Amino acid sequence: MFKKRLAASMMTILMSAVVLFAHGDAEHVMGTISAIQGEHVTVKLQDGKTESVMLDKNTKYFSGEKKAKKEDVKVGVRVVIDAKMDTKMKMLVAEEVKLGVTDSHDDHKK
Amino acid sequence: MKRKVKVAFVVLALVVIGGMSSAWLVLGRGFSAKDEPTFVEAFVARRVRKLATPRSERDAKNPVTSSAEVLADATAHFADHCATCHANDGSGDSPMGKGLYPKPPDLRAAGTQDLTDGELFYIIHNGIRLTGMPAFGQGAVDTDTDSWMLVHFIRHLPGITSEEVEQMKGMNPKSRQELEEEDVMRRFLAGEDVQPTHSDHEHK
Repeated sequence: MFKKRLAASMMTILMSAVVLFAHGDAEHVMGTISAIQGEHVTVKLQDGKTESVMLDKNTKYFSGEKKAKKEDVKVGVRVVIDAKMDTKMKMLVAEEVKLGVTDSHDDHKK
Repeated sequence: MKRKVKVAFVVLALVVIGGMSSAWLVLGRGFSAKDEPTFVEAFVARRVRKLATPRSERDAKNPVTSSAEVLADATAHFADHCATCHANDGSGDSPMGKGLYPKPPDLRAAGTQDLTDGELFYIIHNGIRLTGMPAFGQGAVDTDTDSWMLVHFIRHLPGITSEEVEQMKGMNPKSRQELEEEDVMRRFLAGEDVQPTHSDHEHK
């Protein structure tokens, strides 16, 4: 009886672990910076839609595995942003910005 | 005598009323692992954790000498086995950690850093009952060098850099979907013409 209860408890813990691991709480915003206004950047996605993300003092910047700076975020740069929804501001706030290559001006116009 | 009986009756009545009110509140509200432990729970749990480590183990010295190789090994080990709950930076700010009761402690903070090496080793090797912390030690204590290496890593956590944390992300356990998504992101950032996605991992 005890063994059965123990096995059931272990299964419950393992299943909870799997469910939680599959549901992180960050969003990935992947696209090209199309505008910068103060602390807000607009990211143009491939489907033409845009997503506005706020950069704050805790946002970290990387180029590959190397640390980058906020100043490296420029219009035309490809980015992948890990962001969380701030429910009070109703706005995505960037936790981490990964910077990539800069698209050519022509590409950016598309 | 009568006065004493009256006082005892009032005290008993207050205890009963208090108990019933608490039970009513708890039953009406239910239990959730999202809550933070109350002050009393946290206080008792810390004391019990302290008592759970035998005196002889508390003062144990780390038999593994710290070096760059040891730290690199422990970093990879932590990223693979511990970061799912504790997060790569030891803050406990991970999806799993936030759902546990009690939450994993901030390993960088005094509550953990003030523990002796022996206490840290004992916790890693034996786990902590009634929490999410399992016993990672396998076999005899004197052969568990991995846990002693992790003690060195925990001591390193208060000064961990964002670059180190970024490197650890590549060592975290990942599902096939996450690996594919990372590959798409890496190729996109390198300038390849891949389909950018707006992936949503939020549990709504």
